[in-house]
Amino acid sequence: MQLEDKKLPSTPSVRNALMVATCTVLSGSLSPASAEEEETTLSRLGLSTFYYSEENRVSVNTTHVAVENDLGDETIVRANLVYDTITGASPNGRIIPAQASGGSIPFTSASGFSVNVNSNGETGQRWLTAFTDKRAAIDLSLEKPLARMVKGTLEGSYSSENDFTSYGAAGTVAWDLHQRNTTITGGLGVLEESVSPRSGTPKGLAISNCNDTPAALASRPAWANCNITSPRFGNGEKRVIDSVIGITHVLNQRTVTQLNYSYGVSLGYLTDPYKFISVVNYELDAEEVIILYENRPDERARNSLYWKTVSQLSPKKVVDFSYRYFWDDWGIKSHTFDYKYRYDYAPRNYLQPHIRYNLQSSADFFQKAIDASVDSLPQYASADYRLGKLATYSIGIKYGKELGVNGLFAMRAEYIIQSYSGVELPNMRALVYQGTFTFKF
Amino acid sequence: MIMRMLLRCSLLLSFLLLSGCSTLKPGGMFAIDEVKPWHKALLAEERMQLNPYPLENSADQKIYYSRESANGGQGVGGGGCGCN
Repeated sequence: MQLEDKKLPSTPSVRNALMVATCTVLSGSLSPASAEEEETTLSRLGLSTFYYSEENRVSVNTTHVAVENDLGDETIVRANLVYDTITGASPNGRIIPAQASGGSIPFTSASGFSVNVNSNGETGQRWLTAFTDKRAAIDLSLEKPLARMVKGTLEGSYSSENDFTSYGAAGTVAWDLHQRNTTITGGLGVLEESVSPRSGTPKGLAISNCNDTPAALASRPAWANCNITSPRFGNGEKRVIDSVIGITHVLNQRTVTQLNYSYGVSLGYLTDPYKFISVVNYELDAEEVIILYENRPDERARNSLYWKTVSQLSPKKVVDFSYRYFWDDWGIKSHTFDYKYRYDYAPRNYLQPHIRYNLQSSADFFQKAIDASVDSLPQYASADYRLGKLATYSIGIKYGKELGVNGLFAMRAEYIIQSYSGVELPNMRALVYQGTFTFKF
Repeated sequence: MIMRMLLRCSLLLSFLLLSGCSTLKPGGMFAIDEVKPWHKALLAEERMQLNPYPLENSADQKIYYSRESANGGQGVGGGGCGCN
């Protein structure tokens, strides 16, 4: 009320215009730290078709539909629908057969689990398990102001595959400070997941199959009883809890930077029921004597520090750089660099080269095989290459074009190479193609 | 091997580019200025957002989630997958 008694000074029109602009901006929807402007008042439809193909391994086709609608009052709902079809073969943890033996050795099953050992072995591909799957996922979120400088986001997700189900819920609160130049973000998410192999989940480090050749029989360890069918259990359930706290800051008119610390725990059945580990006799041409199911700890604590910066170098050039350091209590450490350089070479057209590099150390319990001469088995063991030491290199290019006032089309191609130090797998080579179309209305 | 060398060189060049972007003033892109609300036109552009291409980011997250042990960092939320 006191303000009503004050008179606006009779100042030049430029000053008044600036004051009006300031008040408008401060009371409006502009959120500089996240830098979303008037565009959030529009609805959006995004469509994506994505193809991922590994050489001699897995192929994935993905269709993604994203819808965003502003309900007014800065309240935004978002929905994402994703459908994947997956075919191909994935490394299962077994060693690659030595050239001399070729892999065509007689195996007997101790479990009845439907893993095709011999037919794959005869082609020298017994280290791969063929599979097909389909995945449908939906993700809904609601973003709403909680106070003048605070907004919250609630999210629910569900995804289903033939043998895997995931339910998730997450909440994030973002608090703007310093004329919205700084944003403090905190978030918590929970996933309840269940893996349900057709034959149930195997007992960790139980015997799947035994090699029946005379030489292998002679070197079979004393702890291995191939005459007993390994027990199998129901679904594998796990709970994944993730939290994040972060700060986003506008450094200058051209640069925004973000630093996040994330902490997460995974509890429950963290073993992959489709992965094996070979027991090998190194005196017998390193041939498999027994195949065991892998076994992982039932707890995992994960940490990551993530830093990202987006900066405009010139009106035509924008760089987007991120680095993540990840570590967990399984002994894995990882460095990930990601760099994109957008060049608007002509009005409404841009090219964006991309490179990414990931270097990962192995988990403490990772080993490529178990020596048949050991007196007893370790508590945990996995030969899943994803838990081993590896490096991933990605290089790609994207082309984007604005269509009319409200449309945006983009297509990109990426080439990925993954190389392994802890296992004798051939390098993984993959191609990625993606086309996206976004329309605002 | 050539691919690896090429990528490593690209990465190194990227860092040099990042650190050498002192185009306008000392500190380059990392110069700290007080930014008023009416100075944020550039930052409001879509290409300047921290996640400007969510459809592509979502696809990348899934690729690397299923092929590497490290994941996350950008936030919470999103569904899981039994990716093999």
